[in-house]
Amino acid sequence: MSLSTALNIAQSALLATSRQTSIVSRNVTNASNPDYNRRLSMLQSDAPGVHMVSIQRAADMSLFRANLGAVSSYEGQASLRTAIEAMTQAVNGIDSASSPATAIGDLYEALQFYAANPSNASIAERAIDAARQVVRSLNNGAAAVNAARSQADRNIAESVADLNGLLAEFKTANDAVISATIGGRDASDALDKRDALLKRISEHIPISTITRDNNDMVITTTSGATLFETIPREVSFQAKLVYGATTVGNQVMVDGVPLPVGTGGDTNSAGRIAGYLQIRDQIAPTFQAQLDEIARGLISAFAETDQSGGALPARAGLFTWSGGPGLPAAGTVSPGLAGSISTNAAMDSTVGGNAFVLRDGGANGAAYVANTSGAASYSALLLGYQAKLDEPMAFDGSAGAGVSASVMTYSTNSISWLEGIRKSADQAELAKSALVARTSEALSNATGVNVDQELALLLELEHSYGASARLLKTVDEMLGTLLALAD
Amino acid sequence: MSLYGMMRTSVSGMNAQANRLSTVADNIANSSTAGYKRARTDFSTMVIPSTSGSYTSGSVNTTIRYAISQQGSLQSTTSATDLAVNGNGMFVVQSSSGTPYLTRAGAFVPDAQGRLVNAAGYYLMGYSFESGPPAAVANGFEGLEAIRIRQDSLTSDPTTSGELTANLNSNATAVTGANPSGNTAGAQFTSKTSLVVYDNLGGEVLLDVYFTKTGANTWDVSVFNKADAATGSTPFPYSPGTPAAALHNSTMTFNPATGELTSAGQLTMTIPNGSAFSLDVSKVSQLAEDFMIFDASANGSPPAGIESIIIGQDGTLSAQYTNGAVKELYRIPLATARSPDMLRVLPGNVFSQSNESGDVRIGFPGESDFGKVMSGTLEESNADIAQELTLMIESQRSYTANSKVFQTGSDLMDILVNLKR
Repeated sequence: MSLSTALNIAQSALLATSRQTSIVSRNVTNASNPDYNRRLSMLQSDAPGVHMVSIQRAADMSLFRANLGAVSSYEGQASLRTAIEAMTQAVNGIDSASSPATAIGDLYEALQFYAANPSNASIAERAIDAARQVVRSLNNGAAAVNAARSQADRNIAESVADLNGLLAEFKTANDAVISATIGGRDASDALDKRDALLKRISEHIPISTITRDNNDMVITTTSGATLFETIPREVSFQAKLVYGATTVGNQVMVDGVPLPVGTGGDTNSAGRIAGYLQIRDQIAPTFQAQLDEIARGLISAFAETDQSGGALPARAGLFTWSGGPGLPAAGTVSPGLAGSISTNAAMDSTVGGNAFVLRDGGANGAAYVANTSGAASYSALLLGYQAKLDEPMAFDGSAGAGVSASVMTYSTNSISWLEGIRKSADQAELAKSALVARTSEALSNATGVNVDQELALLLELEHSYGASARLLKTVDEMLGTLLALAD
Repeated sequence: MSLYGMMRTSVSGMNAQANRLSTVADNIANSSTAGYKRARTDFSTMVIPSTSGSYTSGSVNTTIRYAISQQGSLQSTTSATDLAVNGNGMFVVQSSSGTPYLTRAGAFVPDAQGRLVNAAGYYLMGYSFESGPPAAVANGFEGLEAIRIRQDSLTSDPTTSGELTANLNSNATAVTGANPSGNTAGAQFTSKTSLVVYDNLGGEVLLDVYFTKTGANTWDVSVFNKADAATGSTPFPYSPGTPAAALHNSTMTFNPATGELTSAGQLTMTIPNGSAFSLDVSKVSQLAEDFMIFDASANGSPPAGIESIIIGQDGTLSAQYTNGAVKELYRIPLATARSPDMLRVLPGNVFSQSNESGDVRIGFPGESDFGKVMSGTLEESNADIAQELTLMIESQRSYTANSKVFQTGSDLMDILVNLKR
């Protein structure tokens, strides 16, 4: 019995060693695969002569969770920063060249020049042209803000579609893990796949996970809404094609619960979807309100007043709007004003007006004419307009750029506000990307493949294989000796 | 007489050695047969009464014994239905005609009908779990049936119990308007989660669980069937549009000092087209932290076919279904006799009870000395070639010696015959 047994045991040792070697080779092959966790081969002896190789997978759940959280925060911050930068670029241009503040500054200078030379027709045209520039800047800005919002909306729709697809894939991966766990098979590959999917899901939405019996996993958002439990839950979102100043975007519903949105430039929004929601519902609308307030400030600064002594109401002058010739309500945001502001046709020579009406007044009828004598050197009105651009007025606090400032200061405040958010978003993105790198590195150190270690193990296995083979050979020789005897 | 006697004695010696050589041949031939137990040739003397003056040689008797109780070494394989016993027990198998036998040859594979058949064509027997966990009949084969794994059937379990552990945010503002318990359009809730359960036919039913804070430390919990939800932006009202649509409605109260639940910890409801379901919420807390789920689980399983067979060391044969559920189908018993070595040996590595062996005892693996069932393992033959070869050489020498004795007798007879010319 003993020689045959020795042969059998040596043979099963060869089998066990070759299986361990195959695990080492799998580890080495996947050394550069970030989603691969190192496999450990554990040898155990269950009964005489039976060697089992069980495969364990290196895993560190707390490091993995920390990494998922860092990825979510970073993705939320990055999407917010990108969107803010794109919007800033579209509205203000490089170095704020096309911003309303620059255009208003130019208008101020043109008015000064016009007041010094009130009879010069070409200088008058230049002032009107500067006014057209201001209108164009505001109109373009309003359009760019709406475009940024609808872009964010489309990005949300894409992200949601992607997320639903990932959750469907997650079901397949999760089922494979459960089935392998129950069947006592090696679940490592299925676990790798499932973890890779979790990483991709956490890019879109911040998640927390619960592991149930048989390695079954439940995913919820960090706010507690269920994303996956046995089956994927629906993440629903209705995109809107066009955004206007008053359009309110739809919420993203996770299993019937709205996804919360973060605040601030160093945002607490985690995941791409929340980042896009924040730009769509908070930053872009606030900036929109600031543009509207600038437009309202301009319309009221250039308003014409009754010069005839009657009690006629003030009317829109150089700048008018879709609701003109009346003035927009004072002290409060009129949504969409920046998009509808225009130069007064009575003063704009391109549509048949006369640039001298700005000097004389009277765009709204004879009662509003200030230069009643028709003197070519009249400049009091122009100097008045210029002074009003410098005069503090009341702005709506909800727009977030101050409550009392001159139009010119308010417009520069608006640039500073946006720049401030952009800067803090930029800095926070750096910090968060460093955190992602750190957590990924820690995770990789704990669960990744170390090729040196694997090769050292391979040497050991080689020796053990050699020893087993040597054993086989010796037993064979012993049997040979015996057979020679029987001859 | 004595010369003839001597020649006959040597003939019996040669016969005995021939017998031993036959068992050696058998052992070597079956040295790779799983579950084979080596045959051993034992000798005994036969003495013929003799007087002091004359000695009459007797002869040698041969008895063949089998080392049935001797464990063979175990070899691992890749098939889960390859079974070995690490211990004294033997599998109970039956022939195609239905006669039960014992064997250690465990290379079973499922046949077309799902019965597990070994290399010699014997079917493995076990006790069915059909009517609850089986008990072994200690001294007979009653209650045993051929194990049959039906691949053509599906199985499902309706959900009966579940657990939900969560934290409800104590800082949430109370809902003053309509809440989900009224099931009216536009009902407001504080937190929501959902849970998959299974009805009687194994269909998935998604339960929406709403938690609504209605006052300090007081929450309203409502459970609805997601399939009844209204289409559109809000799921309310769930059809059929009356408050009766809620599967469960109750009020949860919490201890303001500890945040622990003070009301009943079980939410009872009946799953539509399913069984009574009791959701354990006793560990739900109310602390100043965001809504968070710690555990959400329910038993039950959807319909599924068998994916694989798992055989435990205690002999329990379970089917693993494609949905992950595991169901016990049979328990494989082990049998042994008072004197296992005296069992009758029959073709196909099987043994049957004989007068000498005593009664067969049946029990489950792990009990007394039956040993454990090892899945994915085969028991090698316990015949060792080295041992057999040495025996063979010994027999050969013995045989030659006997033949020399015979030849000497023959030579002496020759001399005797030649005395008379």
